[in-house]
Amino acid sequence: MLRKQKDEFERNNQEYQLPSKQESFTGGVSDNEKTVIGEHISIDGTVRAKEDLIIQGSLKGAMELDKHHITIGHKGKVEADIQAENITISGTLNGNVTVHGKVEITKEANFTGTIKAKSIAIEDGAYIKASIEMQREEDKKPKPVAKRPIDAVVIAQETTKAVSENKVPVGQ
Amino acid sequence: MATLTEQNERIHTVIHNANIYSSRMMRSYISWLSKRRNACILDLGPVCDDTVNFFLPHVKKIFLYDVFLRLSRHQDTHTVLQNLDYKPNSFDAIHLWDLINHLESNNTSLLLKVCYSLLKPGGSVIITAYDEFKNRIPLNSFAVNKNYQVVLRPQHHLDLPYFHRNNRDISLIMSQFNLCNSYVYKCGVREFYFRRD
Repeated sequence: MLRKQKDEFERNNQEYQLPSKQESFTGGVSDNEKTVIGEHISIDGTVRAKEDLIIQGSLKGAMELDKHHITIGHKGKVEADIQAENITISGTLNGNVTVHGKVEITKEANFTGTIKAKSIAIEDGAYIKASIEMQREEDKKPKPVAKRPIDAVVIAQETTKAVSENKVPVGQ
Repeated sequence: MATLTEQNERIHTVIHNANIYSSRMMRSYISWLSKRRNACILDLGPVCDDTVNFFLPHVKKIFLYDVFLRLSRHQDTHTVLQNLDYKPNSFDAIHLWDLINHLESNNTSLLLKVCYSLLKPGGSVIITAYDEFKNRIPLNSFAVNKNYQVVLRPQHHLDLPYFHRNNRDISLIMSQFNLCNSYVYKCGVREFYFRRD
């Protein structure tokens, strides 16, 4: 009797733990922590996250996961501008994607928008209307800070003031 | 004596090699493309990531619109072509691959009218076609690699009618463009490199 109760408890516990594993549609996501937006969840707004994200539901807005992987599962419907490290698209996505690494588009995907990425993999049969731009090394380099024009104005004003007060001889 | 399996492997190898050729047109086209600053090109499919990755270092942007896939999913040809709703004079080049061999004459005219308006003056059009009895089944994508080798990659998910067009037909269809070069390969592929005035 006790053994039967123990077996039942273990079975229930296993059933409870299964959904959190989500190993079947990780799309290259491995040991990192990840959040799943299930197919019955709908989000309207901006999602910022510091862990990998799998979307099977619908999302409208923006997604910012600069150092993490986004997977849009085959049931996912997303209308958003996305920034991430890598992205795998298997569902419907309408938006602009900027990633530091790789974009993977599977044959189940329906993608409309723009992509800026370092590399791209598209499975034959993917439904796409997109523009693709390569993320080049020079795009990542910080642009040199321009001299603030305000400084020049201040110097010019001070010089003008000094000249008008005869502190600086004209032509010197 | 070779076993049946070995014979089949040999046949497979021969067929496989017949689907690869070294493209002289690609060399000439890439040389021209590299001289254009911030070039934008439009690829009408079948979309192939090898080809996208081959062209990306040479251009600013690649636009992908897979006409083959849309037509294969029984979308109306007029609707598919009307959805090429880019601004006029947007592209330095358009890749048609063998699309004109899968459209009826009236739709081919419509396609080329759209392409002409989308191309910048002096822009290029890339076309491929097959000799009459070679390689037309199954429908292929054209996977270009770094050595300008083109691999014909079968696209079993696509199902479109085939209308054979000989060189004269293609010249007539493309009469509003200037033919720069054309090439014929042993594997049965013909390549045509046209340019807009």
